[in-house]
Amino acid sequence: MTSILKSTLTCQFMFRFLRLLIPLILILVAVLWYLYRTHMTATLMIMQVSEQQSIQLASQTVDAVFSVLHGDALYLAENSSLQQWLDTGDSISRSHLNADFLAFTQSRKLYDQVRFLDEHGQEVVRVNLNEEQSEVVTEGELQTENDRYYVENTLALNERDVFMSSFDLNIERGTIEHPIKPTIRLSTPVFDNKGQRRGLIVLNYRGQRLLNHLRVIADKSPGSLWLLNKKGYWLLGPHPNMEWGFMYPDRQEMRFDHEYGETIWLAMLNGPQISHWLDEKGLFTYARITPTTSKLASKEPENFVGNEQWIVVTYIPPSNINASTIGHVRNLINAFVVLAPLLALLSGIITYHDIRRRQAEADARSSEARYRGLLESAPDGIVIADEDGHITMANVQAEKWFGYTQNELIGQPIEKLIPERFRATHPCHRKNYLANPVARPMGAGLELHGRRSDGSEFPVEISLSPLETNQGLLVTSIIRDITARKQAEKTQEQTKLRYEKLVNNLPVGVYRNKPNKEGKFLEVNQAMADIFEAESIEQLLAHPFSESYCNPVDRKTFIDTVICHGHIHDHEVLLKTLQGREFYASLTAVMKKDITGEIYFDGILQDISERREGKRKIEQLNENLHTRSMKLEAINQELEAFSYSVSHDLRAPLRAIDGFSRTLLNEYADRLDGKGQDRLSRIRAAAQRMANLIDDLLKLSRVTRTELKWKSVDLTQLASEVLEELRQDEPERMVQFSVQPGMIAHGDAHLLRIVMDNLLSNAWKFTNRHSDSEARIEVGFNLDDNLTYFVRDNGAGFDMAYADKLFGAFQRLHDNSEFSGTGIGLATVQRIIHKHGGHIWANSAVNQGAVFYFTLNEREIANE
Amino acid sequence: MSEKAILLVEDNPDDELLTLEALEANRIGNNVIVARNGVEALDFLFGEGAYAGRDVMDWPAVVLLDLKLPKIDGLEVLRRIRADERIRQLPVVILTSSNEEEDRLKGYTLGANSYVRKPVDFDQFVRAAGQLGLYWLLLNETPRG
Repeated sequence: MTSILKSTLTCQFMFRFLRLLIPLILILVAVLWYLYRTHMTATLMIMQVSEQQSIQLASQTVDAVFSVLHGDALYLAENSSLQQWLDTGDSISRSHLNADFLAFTQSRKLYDQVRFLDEHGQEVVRVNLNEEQSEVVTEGELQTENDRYYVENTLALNERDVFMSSFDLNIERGTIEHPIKPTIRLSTPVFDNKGQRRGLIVLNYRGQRLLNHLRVIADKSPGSLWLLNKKGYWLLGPHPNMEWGFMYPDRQEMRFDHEYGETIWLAMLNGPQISHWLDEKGLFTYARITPTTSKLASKEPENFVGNEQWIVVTYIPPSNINASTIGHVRNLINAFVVLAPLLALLSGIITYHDIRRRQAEADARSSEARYRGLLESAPDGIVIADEDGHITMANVQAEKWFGYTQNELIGQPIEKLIPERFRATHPCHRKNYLANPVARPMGAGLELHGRRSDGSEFPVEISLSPLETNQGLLVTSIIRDITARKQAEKTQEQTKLRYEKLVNNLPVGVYRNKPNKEGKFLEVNQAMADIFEAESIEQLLAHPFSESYCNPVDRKTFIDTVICHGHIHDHEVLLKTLQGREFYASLTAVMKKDITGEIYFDGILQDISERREGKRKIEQLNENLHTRSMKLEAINQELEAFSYSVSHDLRAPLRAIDGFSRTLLNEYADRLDGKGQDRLSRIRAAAQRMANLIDDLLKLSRVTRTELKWKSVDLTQLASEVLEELRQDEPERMVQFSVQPGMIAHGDAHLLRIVMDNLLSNAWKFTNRHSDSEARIEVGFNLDDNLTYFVRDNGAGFDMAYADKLFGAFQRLHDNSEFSGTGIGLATVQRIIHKHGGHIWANSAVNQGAVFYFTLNEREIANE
Repeated sequence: MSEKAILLVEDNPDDELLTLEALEANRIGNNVIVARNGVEALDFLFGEGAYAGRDVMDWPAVVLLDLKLPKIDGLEVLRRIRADERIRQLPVVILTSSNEEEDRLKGYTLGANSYVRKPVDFDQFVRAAGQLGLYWLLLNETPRG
């Protein structure tokens, strides 16, 4: 129980704790996430700005460099020594020219080669800068360069146009010079004073210087600074091995688009001129610069001719971006690690106090509800009164019993609930009680009464208990309505009387005694006193029951049986009365135990002397009956044997008489005269008649002996069958039949067939005097009082004077000469009808036909 | 006519004579062996006692059996015939005065081939004997042929 409560509390605590903690944690995570995002954005912004500055610086550097290169090319093209040499073509001006170019090259140190070629592509002046030392190439070593693309391109330019070759590596004698020498060639046409195109100036710019400038910028930037040409090859790249890929057959794949994707590359080529790109590979900030068009530093038009286009890119890899945020993330995690437990602790404390508060509230509520519930569910009325006897509280039961509402009671003097006749003295009682306020239990006092609002009174029991409160002494009265109890006591008393009366009026003896030595009765009724011929009940109670037994062993058997089985039923024993008269008694008793565990018997006792006498007589009668039935049985068996013998043996002599008479008639006819033959014929007829009589007698006797086999029999069908047989026997007769349909009787089919056989063959027989068309036989039934069947014919009929002889055996109402017959048929029929519990009678007049009526199962039908 | 004998089991000499006359009247010329009680009938059938050595398989054409017989009654004779494997199929006609239903029922239950009540009227008896002869001696081929 405690553990369940505890686990419930734990569950409740965890639930409320998590309900508080989880939202707090979520808010904390959200705040930290917001901080992280903000920081990330700011960091990226700073990076972008910084990178953009680097890019701008790089662009400006490129512009500045090309501004200088442009200026140098034009300066040399308009050099006075050159112009003079063009005018004169003499050796002095040539040497001046050489000296000027040498000085220029030496001081600038920007160019590996400075050359002037004439309009045919023949080198006229060539200064090489080797190892920081420049030298003029002698005339014999000068070459013709007329087949070079820049010569032709440049000679096609206008004055002050500068042609710029692509930025690549210098190739000496077919191979890339090592160490590599990044080079840009600049050339411009030269015109003489007359405006004639006379040649071109070619400058081989040391590209490494430009790249070094850019490197310096890159060193100050957080990212790498790259320079790409318009094919995407690095001119300045992440690693020297990745640079100048277009110059080396094995570095053809080392392109920016190949490394960082087509998308960003296309954006760089075609997007805004300066922009940045952020993806998972890092932050790219770039600017497209064209030496020919980007004139950031100067407003002057500087016409470069060429299709060189570069892209300056700074790249910050993701690792660097992350590195700059990782510290911040660490700080945020630290903040979470510190703050989350603090929040958990805070939630725990709040939840704990919250649960405590709720528990306390629930306790307070349930305690109050319990108190109130106790008060209201109490089966007793409770009334609390103050020192002055004013009611301060009354519960529902009190309201109900006294018939007031709470409001009608509160503030009223307690005397309101007391019958008028006690009201005057009650304040005095109260005062006495307050002087010595002790708890007074229920029932400790007089019979008290309460008074209802309608003035009626009811018996009560009251207990009082004082209660010291800060409002003074309160007296709690617990009042119990004992009307029902009083009523019950009365009912019980009445019931007891009723049962006493019942027991005392019983015609059988009722007693209680103990199976001890004397067995004196504890309780007896009047019948007991009468049976034992005692003068009074008291006399019988004083008499030991053990002395009433004629045979003391009987008592022991009785007691043993009751103790063994717990009860005894109809135990017969011979007792004697107080007067000494012996009588048979039947005892029925049960064993009981009183509260001390002592055994006693409750029993009833009947004088069965008369009953025993009656029983004896019945037994004797039964015995007589049995003897008679045995005799009857024997007679029946003899009858059986007799019948059998008759059937068998009586016929044999008849057969001999008939048979030998016949033999005589057949074989000795010639020796017998007419009279003799007549006598023999008479002998035969008599023998056959005797045989018929025997047969009919046997039938009659069989009917008597046969046990009925009851079942439903269709009389309609039976009658029809018999009539059909009769017609077949005498097909020449045309008798009208009418058989009522639906005659279903209950009886023995075989015997009812004999009935129909006899009645119908009689009808058949007695109608043979009629002409066939008039003869009529009807079979049917009436439903007047009883269900009555009838067989009616319109034949010879009989005189009703002899009707009483009709059903006697061997009684015949007609001469044999008129109608043959043995006179046993109707006797058989009557016997069968009687066996079926029915009656048969006839109604007729001579030559008026006859009706035979019969009923079946009259008793059964009457019972229905 | 078959040459086979007819076994007539009958104790009453009057009935015996009447039966013989009735057979004769029907011109049934078969040899008629008369047994006057059940024991004698069984002795004949099983080749025992007075008939010791007789071939059991030499069946009579038909047994005309009275029921009320001295020593062993007709129903018992019938029961023994039907209980013996060798002559179980022998045709037996009960020929008796009794018209008791019980006898008739018992006879059929024990396997009588026919039950004929001897009528008192000799003319009827002659007709019944004639029908018996016609049926059992002429028409009915016994299984043993």
